[in-house]
Amino acid sequence: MLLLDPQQRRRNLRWLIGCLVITGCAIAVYGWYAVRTPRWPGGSSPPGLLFGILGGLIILFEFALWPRKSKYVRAWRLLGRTQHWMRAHIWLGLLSVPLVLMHTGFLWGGWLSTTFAVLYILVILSGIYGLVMQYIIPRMLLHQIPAETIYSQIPHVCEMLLEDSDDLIRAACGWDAVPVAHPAAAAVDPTIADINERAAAIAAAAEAAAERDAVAAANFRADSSYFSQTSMFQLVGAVRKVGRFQGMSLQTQVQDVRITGAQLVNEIYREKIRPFLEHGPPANEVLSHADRAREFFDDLRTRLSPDSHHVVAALEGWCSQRREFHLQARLQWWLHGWLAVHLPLSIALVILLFAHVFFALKYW
Amino acid sequence: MVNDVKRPTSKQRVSRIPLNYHTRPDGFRRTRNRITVVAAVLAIGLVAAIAVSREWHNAGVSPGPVARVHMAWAQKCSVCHESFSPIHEDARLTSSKLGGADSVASIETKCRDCHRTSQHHPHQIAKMEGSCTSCHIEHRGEEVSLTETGDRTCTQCHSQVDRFVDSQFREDLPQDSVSITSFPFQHPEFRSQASDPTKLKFNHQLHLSPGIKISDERRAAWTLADVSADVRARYRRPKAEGEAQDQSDEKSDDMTVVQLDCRDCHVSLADKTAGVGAGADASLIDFKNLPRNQPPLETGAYMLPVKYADHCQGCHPLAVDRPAQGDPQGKSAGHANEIPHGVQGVALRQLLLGQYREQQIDEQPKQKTSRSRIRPLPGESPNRPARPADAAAEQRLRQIETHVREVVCKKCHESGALTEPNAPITVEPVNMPAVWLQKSHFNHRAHRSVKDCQECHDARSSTKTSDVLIEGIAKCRECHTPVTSSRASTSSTATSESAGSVIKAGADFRCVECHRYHRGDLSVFDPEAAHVHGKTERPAAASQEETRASE
Repeated sequence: MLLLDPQQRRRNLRWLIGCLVITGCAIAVYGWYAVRTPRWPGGSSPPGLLFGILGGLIILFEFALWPRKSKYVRAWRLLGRTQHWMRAHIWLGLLSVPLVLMHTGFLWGGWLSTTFAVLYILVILSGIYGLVMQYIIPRMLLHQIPAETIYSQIPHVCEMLLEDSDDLIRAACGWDAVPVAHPAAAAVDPTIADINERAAAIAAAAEAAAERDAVAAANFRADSSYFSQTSMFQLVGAVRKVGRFQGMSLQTQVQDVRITGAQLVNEIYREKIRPFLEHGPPANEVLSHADRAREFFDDLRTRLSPDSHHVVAALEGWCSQRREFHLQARLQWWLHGWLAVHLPLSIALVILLFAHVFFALKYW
Repeated sequence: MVNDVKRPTSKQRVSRIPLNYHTRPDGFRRTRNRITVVAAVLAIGLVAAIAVSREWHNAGVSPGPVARVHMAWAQKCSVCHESFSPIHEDARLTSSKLGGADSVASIETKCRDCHRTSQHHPHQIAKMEGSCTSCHIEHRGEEVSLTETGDRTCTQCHSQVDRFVDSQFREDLPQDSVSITSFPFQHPEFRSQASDPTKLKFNHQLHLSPGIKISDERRAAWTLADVSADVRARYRRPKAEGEAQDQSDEKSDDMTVVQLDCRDCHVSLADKTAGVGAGADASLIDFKNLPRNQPPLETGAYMLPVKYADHCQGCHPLAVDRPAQGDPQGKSAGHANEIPHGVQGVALRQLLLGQYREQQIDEQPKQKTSRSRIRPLPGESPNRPARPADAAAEQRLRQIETHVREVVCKKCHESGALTEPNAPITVEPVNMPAVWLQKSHFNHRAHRSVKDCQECHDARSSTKTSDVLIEGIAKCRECHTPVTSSRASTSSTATSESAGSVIKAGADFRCVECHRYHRGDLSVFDPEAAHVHGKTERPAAASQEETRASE
């Protein structure tokens, strides 16, 4: 897999050859010794001890990638490039497998060494799984999710998406089309135990928000500057392509007049599109699928005059983005979820490595 | 109006996502960190438990339970182990380089505190002998025998044994023994079979023929009536199903020809306790004082020794038909006396002389007083120069001795060489091996599924005593060999075709199945070797009980 990438092939080929040569030599030494002994040489035999030392050092080096990538160390240039560390991490990890296997003498030993061996196997397997995922998923993300954003910012971006769509609908369908979010209602302390107190607080917040909406509506009509800032220029995501790469870029769209069929757009937005943008695919099955969503918006366009189509196009684009964010979140789990196994087990492995070395030398 | 409106700047667009987002861990990272902490704590807790708790320590560090014989020290690692000092044989090279050459020797000392050990073979290079732990691997479980070692413990040396033999003995090595890799494929023929040292005349084919008579022989067939009445019943065969047997039949049965089979002479203690075969009462065998190199009979693994009194006397009584004068070959029948088996030399001469005197007295009662003349006077040798009155008796005694030697003893034995013309009769020791394969164990009981002894001992075609009636290694290899697909299919076919047929191949063929390591130069039954292997005592009574119980 590492050799499939044409750009990385040559460097990985060097590592592959190096690892194969070392593994071959190790097997030859082990075999040479094994034919002279009645059973498979274990950790106390000269080759077993040598392979154990090498395997232990490799495990420590593998583990060093974690601090290497920490924010305190990653800027140290003396340590070399992280890319090189990662390549060494992968290939030395694979090289350690035959060394450790021969070190064991093909026996599990006590449950301390058995636990150690099982952890090692799990770490290796999770690492290989991660390697495969790291090869497959980014390509999927690149091709299937042009609107990819930073994973941790997906909720934040979705909120902004909702705000942008609300602004557009307000501008295109009138101020009353979408109520302004009520931060006061949201700010009601959820820890208030008395339900009457909570109800009173929510009612007060809603009343305050209604007053604020009324003032805002008056300002909207009277103050064109507010209109210009919130509704005239809309930030709309659009897919752009540069060479082989594509991605979502923000572009500004002007919306200064009400569209015809605003009532229909307003109703559909409130009932179907907005819940989808707010909660994602679980909220609307039709908009969850690209094909069905396209049919849905095509149908909407046929019911509206052409001057409304750019609004429908913008809504369709946001729904598409929301769908991609959802897919990205799921892929992200596959892409990085293995780390939740690989890293903790690696730390446990290193701790047990020291214990194994101590007890093995004590009773070898 | 539109011209007054400001477009969002690039900075405003970029600021939609905070630039320091990476400094704040997301939910996934937080979860991962929590799991990492939990894993680290668990690992540290595990190590701490092993370090603090003795039970956890023993269970965690020990690669497995010790053998049952060492179970008393299962919780005391220090009885065998010294901290940071290698115990394994294969650590010898490493440890010597690390300056701990004596560490492996320390475990040897600890083993010898309880176990008497000895070298494998006096001809080997002593320094090349492995330590105890090179063969006896501990911590493999309670039920695992420490002596059940793999073939490679033996073949690592025996596959190129000349490297391990002292140079002065290297030339004496048999060529077929230089490289032994496995019993089925590369193992020399059994050396014990090279020759038969037995000094006895016995024809197996004759004795297994109906009527103890070869078909073209002229003499009459041997019938039950020819067998001593005391043991006749032993050779009477049960009648076929449906045929009633009563007292009147017994007389008519006496004319039945004798048909011996193997078990009339060769039985194990297990057979005997089961009521099979003939022979002395097994309870009379003194198991604690068996001769040197005698196999352990009490297990039923080996056949009880063949004895004249038990197995021969019924048909071959030592009757001395004293010949008439001038007929040393005894062709003319005379008065019969019996002489006991095993008496020879001067004692036999005295016995024959006594019998002759008694006969004379019986025949000439008047000369009774003359008996005192032949008694030696006090202080006189019985071999004193013959007096004139004894000359006739002397001559007659020589005739009788000649008859006994030539007719009675030589029937079965080879007499010793006569150094003097009138030397007394001596019989060479029979020298029959108590067990043929001295360097290995064999268990007849384990092979009881082989119903016909003829499968391994071709006695029916053996006419000479010198015939060694063990088929050899090829016969053993029919069963003691790995199961291959072709053999498996053959055996399964054979089994399906004839019920009760013995399945070939697949029987154990490890070295330790037959051989022992310590004092490999001695017979496995030698008390010295047996002592090393912990078989110094013969619990006769207990073993007999066990044998009976197992039957």
